[in-house]
Amino acid sequence: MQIPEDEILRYLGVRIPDENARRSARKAAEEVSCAAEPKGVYKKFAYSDGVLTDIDYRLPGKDIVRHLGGAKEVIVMAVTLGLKVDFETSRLGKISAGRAVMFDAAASAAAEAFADEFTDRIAAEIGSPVGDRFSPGYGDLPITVQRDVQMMLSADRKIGLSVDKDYTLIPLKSITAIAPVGAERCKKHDCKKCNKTDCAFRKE
Amino acid sequence: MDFLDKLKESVVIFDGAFGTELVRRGVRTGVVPELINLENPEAVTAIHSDYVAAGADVISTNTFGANSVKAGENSEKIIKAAVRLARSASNGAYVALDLGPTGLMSEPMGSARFDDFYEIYKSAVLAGESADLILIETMSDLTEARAAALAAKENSSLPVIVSMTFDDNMRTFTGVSVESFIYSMYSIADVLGVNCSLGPKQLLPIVKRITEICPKPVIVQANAGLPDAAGNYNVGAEEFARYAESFRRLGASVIGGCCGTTSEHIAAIASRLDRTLTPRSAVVPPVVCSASRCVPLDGVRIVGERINPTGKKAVKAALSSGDYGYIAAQAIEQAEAGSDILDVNAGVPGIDEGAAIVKLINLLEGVTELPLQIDSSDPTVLEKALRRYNGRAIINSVSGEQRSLDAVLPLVKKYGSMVIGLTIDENGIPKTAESRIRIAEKIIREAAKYSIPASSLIIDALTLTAGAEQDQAKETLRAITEIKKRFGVKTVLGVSNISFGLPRRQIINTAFLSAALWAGLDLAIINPNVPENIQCIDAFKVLSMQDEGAKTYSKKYSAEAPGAASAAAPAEEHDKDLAYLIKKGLPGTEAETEKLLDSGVPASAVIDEYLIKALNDVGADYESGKIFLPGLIQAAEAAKGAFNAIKKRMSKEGLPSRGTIVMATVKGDVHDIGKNIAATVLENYGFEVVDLGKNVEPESVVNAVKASDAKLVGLSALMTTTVKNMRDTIALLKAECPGVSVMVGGAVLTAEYAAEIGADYYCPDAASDVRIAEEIYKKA
Repeated sequence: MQIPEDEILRYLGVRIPDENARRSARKAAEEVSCAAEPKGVYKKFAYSDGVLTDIDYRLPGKDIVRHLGGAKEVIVMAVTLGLKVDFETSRLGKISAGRAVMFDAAASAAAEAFADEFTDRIAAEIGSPVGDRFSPGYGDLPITVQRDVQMMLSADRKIGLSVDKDYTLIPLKSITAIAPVGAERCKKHDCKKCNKTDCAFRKE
Repeated sequence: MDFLDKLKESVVIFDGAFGTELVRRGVRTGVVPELINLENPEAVTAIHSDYVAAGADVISTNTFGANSVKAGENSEKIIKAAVRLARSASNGAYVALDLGPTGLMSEPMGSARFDDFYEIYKSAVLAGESADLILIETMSDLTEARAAALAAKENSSLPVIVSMTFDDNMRTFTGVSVESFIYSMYSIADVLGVNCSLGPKQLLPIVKRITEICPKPVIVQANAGLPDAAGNYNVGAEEFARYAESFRRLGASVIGGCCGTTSEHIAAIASRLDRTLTPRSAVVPPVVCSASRCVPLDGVRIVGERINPTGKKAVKAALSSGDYGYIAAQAIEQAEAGSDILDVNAGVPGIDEGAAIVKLINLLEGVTELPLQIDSSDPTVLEKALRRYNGRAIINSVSGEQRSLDAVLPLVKKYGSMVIGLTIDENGIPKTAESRIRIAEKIIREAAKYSIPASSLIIDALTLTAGAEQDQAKETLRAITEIKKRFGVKTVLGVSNISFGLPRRQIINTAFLSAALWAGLDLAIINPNVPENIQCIDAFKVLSMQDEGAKTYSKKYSAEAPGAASAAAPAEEHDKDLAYLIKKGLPGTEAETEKLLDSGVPASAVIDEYLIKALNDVGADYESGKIFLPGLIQAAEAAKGAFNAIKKRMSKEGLPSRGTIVMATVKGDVHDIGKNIAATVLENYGFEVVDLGKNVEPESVVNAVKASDAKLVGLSALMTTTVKNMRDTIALLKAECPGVSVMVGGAVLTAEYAAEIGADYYCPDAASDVRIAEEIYKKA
């Protein structure tokens, strides 16, 4: 898993990085690589008009339906970096807020990087491209869907992914998503697609 | 026949997977598959009947995901129906109430509390009470497994099986080792073991380890191999049955199947498996563990003594205020200094010691893997701590007084802990080795009445003060040697009491520690941050042959030249002034501040003219985009060194605080990194911060405000779902603490949203809190 340095710096809000910042980012990326135990699980479902037809599950909200378009099949997936990363963030937080923040940013970048890698792996396994991921909490897809995704995938049993009462994913550096089968994944994240215009990480 | 009696006679066969059978029969299920108990009961009984016909002695109800978290309000109905269906198809087979994980995560990494799990499982146990036994399976989180087992034991009289799921690194997803699982649950459950995770071949080493160490019967339910890319399991029935025989030979006595297994797999086991029990004689050795680390007491072990308010002002202050950050740092420091175990004491007058120790355990589990020694004189506090503690703890302590024995030994029995036995009784502290030996004998005898073996006891022969009772040191040492020889128990001493009242205490401490080690001391309760203590033990390990070839010693000490540590700071920093060091986030601020103070600059001037000025410049640079978040935090941390130097000088009259701020990440939310940054920055601008941590109840925030008289509260929340808890916290604060202002921050908040939930201020970034704090306290 390659953790892109630029993403780490973006999460930290560093717009003009100096060599010092880059060095810290590289070090944090190494630390995260040591602590991370990335794991993923997915299932392919037949899809029609907002419904996962195998299990008769209607996806709530309009945005996800728009995102999936005319796909006949969709992938429901979950990835996590594992609990050791959370433990290390919490431990570092008691030693140095600075180190904890760097580590946390690197872990966020790592989770995204691993999700990309895992999406490509799914595409290879099913022999057809898998498009952009759409996660609970994006647009009008409610975050309560996290529990359903966990249950559809048995993600607690298979990769140790918990969903708390308030729908936080634990380990914190985890991602669940739904993606259309057949569409190509956009390799460059496009912030313009997102309606959260006040996002601190939005790229101009 | 009772299930456990049956288990004494022969190997018992469980059924296989339920989901696999549903898929094979083409039965369609939804997100909650257990709903078919209500919607398609015939499909359920058909599967049960097939497993009974295949030869299963026990069938499991179709309730794996039927808990109230996953199945919601239908939970009870689904469970009741499931037991009924299983019973109707059982034809004399035992019916096991099957309880799988809730999918929640326990504190401190998640927000679910021990009591949350307990209540969820209690409801399920009550709904399924007409089963013959309870199967708690596929557990990954030790808090959940323990809460489930206790809920089952305390709310039914049925036998309880607990089975966890391990990866091929012999750990669960949450990092629980096989040893930690067994040693922390052997006293609670009737049968322990492993299911799911892997195929039978990959499970062999895990089963081997469990059968080696588990004093209770062992269950194994493997998957039918590892799934292929299409999700199919490929170990066939005959092959699976051969592995079942291997499990039996290793000592497993309850054998069934998990994912991918069918009635054919169970039929193959039933027809081929020899039912003879393999004799085993596993006993629990002297060992302590946390969820992820096991520490066998097979040599000298260091117990860190620093988390104790007695005589330690900072720990006492931390416990009183609810800001446990200092204690967390102490735990990490002691771990890094070489502790094997941490003693934890939360006994401060005027606080709820039971609640405090549970909170402390939570905190410590988030920052260290070291096992804990629970230190309290109050048995109700001990029980609260032991219930919550994820591991096998040491109880500190029981004495030879009958009242103490009657109160504490039942806890040792129930929770399977180790316990320190103090050689004191109704007559006070005995003055001879002989009388201490007699009390040790009494404790051992009383423990045996509860079937607590001597291997669970650690005897404390008492350190008295040499300054007052000089002749007692020799008695203590003699007692240690004799107690070990006669009873084969482990021994412990709190070492530093020996030197109380004498000058240069460490000289006496080191000499006594060394003598005690040679007398046979196993656990030394010491301050591990004092190098002489650690050095003494390292040297003892060489001389007593525990450190063979002096390998550990040589590795540790050959690189380290004496005095090397003090020369660490690079020379170039000395020509930079304090403001520069802070702005650049460089080390050396503590020394630089001391220089200023030495040269006669008053502390208040150092704060105003150097510290605050530098930090204000940094804040302005951050806001104008000249520097970024890491730079801001580095500057704040550099300022901390300067404040520390000032604090040291002003310890008598105290540092002039710019005001107190209570900080918390709200209930339900565990995303605390933003709040931690804000707290660090505020602290290093000279504000007093009471940091209550994450997942904080509204009442705790109110209590902290009242106790500290803070005029400002900072709350954080990251999730849309936890903002409601932020709103509740603000409402309670406004009602209970009129006059307090609230600032809020977090990814989902905006200025408008903040105003809507009743906050007075919105913090878009880490520098804005400081401006708000300055405004509030300037007004005041």
